[in-house]
Amino acid sequence: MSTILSVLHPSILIPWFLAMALGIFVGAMPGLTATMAVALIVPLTFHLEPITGLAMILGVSFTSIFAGDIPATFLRIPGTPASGAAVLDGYEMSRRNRGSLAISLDLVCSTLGGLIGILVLIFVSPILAAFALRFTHFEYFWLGVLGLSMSAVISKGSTVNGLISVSAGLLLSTIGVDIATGYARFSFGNLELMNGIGFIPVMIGLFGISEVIRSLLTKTEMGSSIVSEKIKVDFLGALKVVFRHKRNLVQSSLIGTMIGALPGAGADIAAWVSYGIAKRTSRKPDEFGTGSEEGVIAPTSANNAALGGTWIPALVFGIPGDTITAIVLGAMLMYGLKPGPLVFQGEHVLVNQIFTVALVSQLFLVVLGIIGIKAFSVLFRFPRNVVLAAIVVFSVIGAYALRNSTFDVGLVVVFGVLGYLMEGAGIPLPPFVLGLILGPMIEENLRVGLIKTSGDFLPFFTRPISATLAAILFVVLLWDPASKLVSAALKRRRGAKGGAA
Amino acid sequence: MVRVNREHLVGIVCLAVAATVLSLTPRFPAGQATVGITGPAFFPNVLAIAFLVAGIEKLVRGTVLRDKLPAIDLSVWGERLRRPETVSALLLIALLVLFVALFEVLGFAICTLAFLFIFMRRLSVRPLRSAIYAVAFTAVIYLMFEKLFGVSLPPGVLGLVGIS
Repeated sequence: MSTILSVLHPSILIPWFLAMALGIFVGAMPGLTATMAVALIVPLTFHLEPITGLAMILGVSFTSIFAGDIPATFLRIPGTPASGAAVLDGYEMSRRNRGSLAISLDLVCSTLGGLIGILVLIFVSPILAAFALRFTHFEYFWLGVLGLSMSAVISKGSTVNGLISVSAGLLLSTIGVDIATGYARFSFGNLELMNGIGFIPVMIGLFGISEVIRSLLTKTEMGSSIVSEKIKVDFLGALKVVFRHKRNLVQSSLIGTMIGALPGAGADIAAWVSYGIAKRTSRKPDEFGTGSEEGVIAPTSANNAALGGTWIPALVFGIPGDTITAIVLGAMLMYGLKPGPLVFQGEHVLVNQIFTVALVSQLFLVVLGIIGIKAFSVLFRFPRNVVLAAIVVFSVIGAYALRNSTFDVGLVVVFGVLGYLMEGAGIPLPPFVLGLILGPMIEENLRVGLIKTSGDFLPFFTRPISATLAAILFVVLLWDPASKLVSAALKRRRGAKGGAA
Repeated sequence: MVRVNREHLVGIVCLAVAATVLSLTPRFPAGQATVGITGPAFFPNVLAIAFLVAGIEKLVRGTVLRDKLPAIDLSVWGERLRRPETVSALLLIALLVLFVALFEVLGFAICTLAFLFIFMRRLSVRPLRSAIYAVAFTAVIYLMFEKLFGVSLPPGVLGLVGIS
């Protein structure tokens, strides 16, 4: 009780709440990531008490990840990379005038997913961290391939079109300096290309600018609002929907936490993988991608749960789970704290305070989330012709802000046109994004693994976790064709029996 | 006459990608002598093969289904390009290309103001409103990115005359 009261002091509460409000603002701006929000906050925390600084950092990460889903839902532009998967069904719901329910579901799931992630952090972090540390190159390779197999699940239509899309994403990820040999692949002497293709400009272009182009090509009343429905937050209504899909919520949150706990795999991968698994395990998989409530629940709960997960290796071993916790660890060192196993003994009061802050942050997220949705819904009431112009300009400046690079603005334009052409040719966009995210993880771990074993593939199959992941992959890949074969055989047998009768 | 359809077009693009990758990767350095598979060309080559297979499948599919799939008709393109919606979309792309080309030279403020004003005018926003919105959005972006987030936006020619 004293721990709870200690973090509810106004000297902690006020900066913490303000930082979380800033997170809503930054997260909802396309191009500005949760990492950027945290990086903005950190310098402000150095003169504060460690727990105040950590409360601000933790809080801002939760709100910015949630806020990234607001433009994803209403404009088809992911505010942060973690919101990429939230675009799929959130935007479809919004197009069908169910945006209020989509964003309410989003808020509920972000809160509950965040809570589950934190509860896992509190109760099983040492066990999970020890498990996560058993992942080596072999296991990360299979994890990446398993994530990639989700592209087959999330693709609509032709399998070959899905293959083209995912291959294009993977190929794009190979541009730039090869980390094993230092050779600049497909760079043609261009310094910008040597640095590789930034993931965020590609996503803004593929989803956002292509949607603006489509919007311009469709005969629509330019003076009308871009979002036709009146946006309301129905928290209780959304809770009821989530209760109907509670298994999906818990499953996605646990997947999110697990993936978050793996160093190098963050909230974006967690969201895509949980979306794919939710579709695979759903009773109505055909509804995914068409405005499915389950398709909103899975990624939005997983991305916030992943935040709790990223703190597991950070707190237990001092190993960053993602870029946010990398900044956090740096900040903790600046505060004079030493993250790692000893922090649980030497700083147990602080650890309990961090846990309390993480839990209370979910409550603040609800309040600030509602305020944020209301604030952005006012912007969406502006005429379509004004909002479209604003979206384009905020998107390109957001892309520029990442690396102060005009090249990235060019990428937004190129991939905006490419995204429009790809969808026109029936090639789905999500596998492309998945390929781009997972490409480096798969290639690097495959190659380093093979270097370690002098070209021997056997350890990829013989190590216990590797073998388990490989087995899961084969089940995922063979599930659809096998179930089709079985149902066809059953149908034939029933037909034969009917004929005999 | 060969009736080219969408599948053919996608197939040709896939084959072109595969050919480009396969023509570039032989210049990449080899991997470890004992483990040739780990060279930087390995992964792109695997992907090129995927594109090759997909391209062939698309060409075969486009040919087998040529009577069922609509053929690409270039004669309708002239009419399509003259539609006001197409002109707006093409103008957006042209403005963005100009934006990228002139962003560093003219600077953030001039490029953003010009882009917003021209684009909103094209979308039938009244001149005065277009000007007010253009100035307001540019100011908001400047305050937010430059002042709040500390992102250095290029001042361009305004920087030369001491305004930044």
